Amino acid sequence: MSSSFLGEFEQMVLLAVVRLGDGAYGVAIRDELATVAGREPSSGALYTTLDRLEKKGLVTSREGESSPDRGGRARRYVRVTTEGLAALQRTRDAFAALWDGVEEVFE
Amino acid sequence: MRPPRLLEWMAARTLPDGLSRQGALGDLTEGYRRRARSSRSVAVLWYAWQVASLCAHAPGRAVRGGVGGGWRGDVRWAGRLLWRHPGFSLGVVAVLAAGIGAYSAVYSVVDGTFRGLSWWSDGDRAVAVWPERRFSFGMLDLYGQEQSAYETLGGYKERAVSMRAGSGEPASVTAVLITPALFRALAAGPRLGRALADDDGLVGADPVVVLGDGLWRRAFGADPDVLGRTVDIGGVPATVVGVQEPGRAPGGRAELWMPAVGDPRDDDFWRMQDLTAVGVLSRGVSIDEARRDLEAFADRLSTLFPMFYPPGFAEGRLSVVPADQDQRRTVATPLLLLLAGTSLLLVVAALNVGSLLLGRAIERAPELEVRRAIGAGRGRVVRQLLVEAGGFAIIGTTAAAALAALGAPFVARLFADEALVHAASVLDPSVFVPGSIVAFGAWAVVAAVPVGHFLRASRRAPGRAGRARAGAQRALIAAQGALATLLLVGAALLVDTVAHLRAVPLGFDPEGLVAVELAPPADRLENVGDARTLYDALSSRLAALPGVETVGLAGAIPLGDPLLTTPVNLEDAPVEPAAAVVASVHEVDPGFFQALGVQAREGRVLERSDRARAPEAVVVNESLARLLWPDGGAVGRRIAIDPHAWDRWVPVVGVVPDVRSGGITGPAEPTLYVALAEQPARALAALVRVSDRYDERTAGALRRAVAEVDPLVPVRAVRSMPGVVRSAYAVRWVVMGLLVGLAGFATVLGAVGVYATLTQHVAARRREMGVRIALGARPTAIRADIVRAGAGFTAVGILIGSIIALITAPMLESLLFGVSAASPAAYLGAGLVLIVTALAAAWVPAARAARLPPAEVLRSGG
Repeated sequence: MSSSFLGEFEQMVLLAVVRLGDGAYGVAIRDELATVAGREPSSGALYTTLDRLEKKGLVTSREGESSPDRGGRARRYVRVTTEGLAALQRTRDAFAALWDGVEEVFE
Repeated sequence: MRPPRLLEWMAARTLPDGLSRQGALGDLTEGYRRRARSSRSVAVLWYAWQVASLCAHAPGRAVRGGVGGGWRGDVRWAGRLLWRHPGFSLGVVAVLAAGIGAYSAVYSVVDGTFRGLSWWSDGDRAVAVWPERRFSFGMLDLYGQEQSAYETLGGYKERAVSMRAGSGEPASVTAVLITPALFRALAAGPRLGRALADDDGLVGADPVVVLGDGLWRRAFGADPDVLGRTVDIGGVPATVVGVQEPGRAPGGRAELWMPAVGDPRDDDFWRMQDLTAVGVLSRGVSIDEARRDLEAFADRLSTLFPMFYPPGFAEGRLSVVPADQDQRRTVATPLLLLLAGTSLLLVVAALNVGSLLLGRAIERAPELEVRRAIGAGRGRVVRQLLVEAGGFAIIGTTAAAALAALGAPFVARLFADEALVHAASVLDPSVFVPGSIVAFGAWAVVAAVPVGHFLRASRRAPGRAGRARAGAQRALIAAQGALATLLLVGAALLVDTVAHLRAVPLGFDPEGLVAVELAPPADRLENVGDARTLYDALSSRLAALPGVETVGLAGAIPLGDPLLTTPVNLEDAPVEPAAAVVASVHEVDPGFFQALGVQAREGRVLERSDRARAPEAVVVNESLARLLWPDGGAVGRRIAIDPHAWDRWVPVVGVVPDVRSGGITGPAEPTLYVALAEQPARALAALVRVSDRYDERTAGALRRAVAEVDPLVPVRAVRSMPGVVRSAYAVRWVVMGLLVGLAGFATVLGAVGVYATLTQHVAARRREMGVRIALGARPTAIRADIVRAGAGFTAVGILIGSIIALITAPMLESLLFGVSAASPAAYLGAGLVLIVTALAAAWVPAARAARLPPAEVLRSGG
């Protein structure tokens, strides 16, 4: 279990999962990232990140329903754990602190 | 609407078992279906891209002892090695690319040519009947009635004729006159119109012609309405009745086909023996049976015409062979020889690269040992080595494909004189598949060396491993040496051959001589007066050109088309025609000898007053004079040269030196020279001696001059005589050049191998040598040791290679001239070149070893 900060893409994926709530699974996460953040990740990047987050204990997965549209395969729904939320918070605070006082450079 | 199964399978392989895999695959299927609703190909591409990204991100699974585990790790590791040693990597890739590329290029040419050679549509039943002899119509007719071996029997002859479509310029084209039944039996069907019908071959039938695809496109713009048009062939109007598919009808260089017509009322029906007989064997009849049938026919000829065919005349000179065998002989041996050469080079290249990788694997032995110590199975390390070798092989093969695509047409063009040679496309499956197999084989060899060594070494104790390594490297150097020896010996033999060919006395000086070959149409020479007018006009017009010194006319140029032959009767020792000496007949005008610079050894050459129709004089060459009158005194004797007027004597007025006529390799042909015959439809050539250099402008001026004399006489070719002489041994020259190149490359590779091996050898034994030097060993001794090692390995290779060369060299016999396949000079020369190269390659590592600072070496621990 890591107490360090989240990588950029890990952040994005976690935030997408938070936004989607109970409906967070692969296709939905990808669409969310594409629509909101303007970045559509490749399958490789997405699934390895999800696996890594799960291994770090920042998300959990559960088996969802299957459908013919998915070749009969079940969905893998993902949820952020409390540790995951804490990590997000930590990272956000760190960035906020760093951004503080730097806004004038962008004017 | 499922995604492609292969891609699905690949994706599954990259995902960890369980829900993760299920979820991801399901997501991919969903995404696929969504996109497939608008475009299936977009969906497939998208899916493939996702699979690629999964492969690239394949999770680093902790494999036993894996450092950067999984295939991804191996690939990254191999990539890093490639990147970090650019010189080495580039060298290895270049060697592989050259080896595989050269092989593929030559293979493309071999494949393209050999497929083109099988133009007989019923390949295994079409045979050349009595290829040692030409048939006359009468003979063919007679045999056709009496034979029992063939379902179709016919004949053909090739001619250069002038063709004019409409009111255009006449052009010289290659025509094949063929018996219609044979044409239909062999050709695979017309693209337009019809094939030749039996009626077309009847006496008095309207002349018809079937065009070849190339000619149809070139001269008629691929006009679909060409059928029924009239074209002028050699002055005779003929109707176009069909167009052939490309490459699917008889005649290697044929551009059009016409029926061969024989009129039994004509003298030539029996006399003119110029047809090549070809038959299609009846089903169930073997070539041996056909041969016996032919022997029976020969006996029949003896019974009917004992004067011309005495009993036993065909003994041992009678055969029936597969129809394309004749053609294969002129191009097959050189091309197959080249293929063998490039195969050898490829093996040398693969061994070379293998030994370089072996060297590197040895350097990395400590690293590999560590890996094994922390649990990597042998399979794991082997996989690493395979991937490394694979990386080089893939890059090398890609470069090789590009090289082959460029090189194949280049190789084919080198054989430009042989119209049958051309290259198949590298992407053609029949080339691509064998090429890929070869590339795979090369990778296997390249990988097998380090892997094999590693597997053997890992089983032994470290000390023994060192010996195994040394043995492996020695074997590799010897193998490369052996193969390089083979190539060098072959190259040396061919260099010797070409040197001998160039030294063959021609009997004339080709420098400054230009040959203008014409194809006058029959109606130009309908009578003697017409012919003489044409000849005189040509001679004077050409002679009037600036820079022209002399002009001679002849029926054929030296080293050009083969001459007709005739038996020669002696007034003071008459014989039957069948038993008479056979001489070639060369029809020439007086200017011929002048243009060639040939002067009579005895008597005189022909003069204007020696006319053809009633030949009043004949000149013989030295070979014929020696044959007929070994004691000399040819001038003044009288001979008869027409077997149908066997006692019409003409005087021999002169003897000239031998001038090469037909081929360059055989002995000079006994030849007699008669005044240029004024018969229609004969080939004609002008030999022009020019004082300036020959170039395109000269050729142009000559063509224009001929056109000015008579615009309806097409020029077949304008060539410089030195060029004609060169093309007489062109094939050998090309093979020699390529073999020399291959041999040189193999030698260089061998040297690189020796250098690299000895460098490692020295590096591995630094400590030992440092000790020796510290104890007083002289640098020269150390140097000599190393050099001896390098030369020693190579010498073993040379020995093995020489033995193999001795056994296989007889395969080259048909190409060699003036040198035997066991010529000691070639073998010694090859051995010398390799030893010297090995010594030179060994020198640098040896010198480095001798200069080792012993104190440093011992301090550093070796």
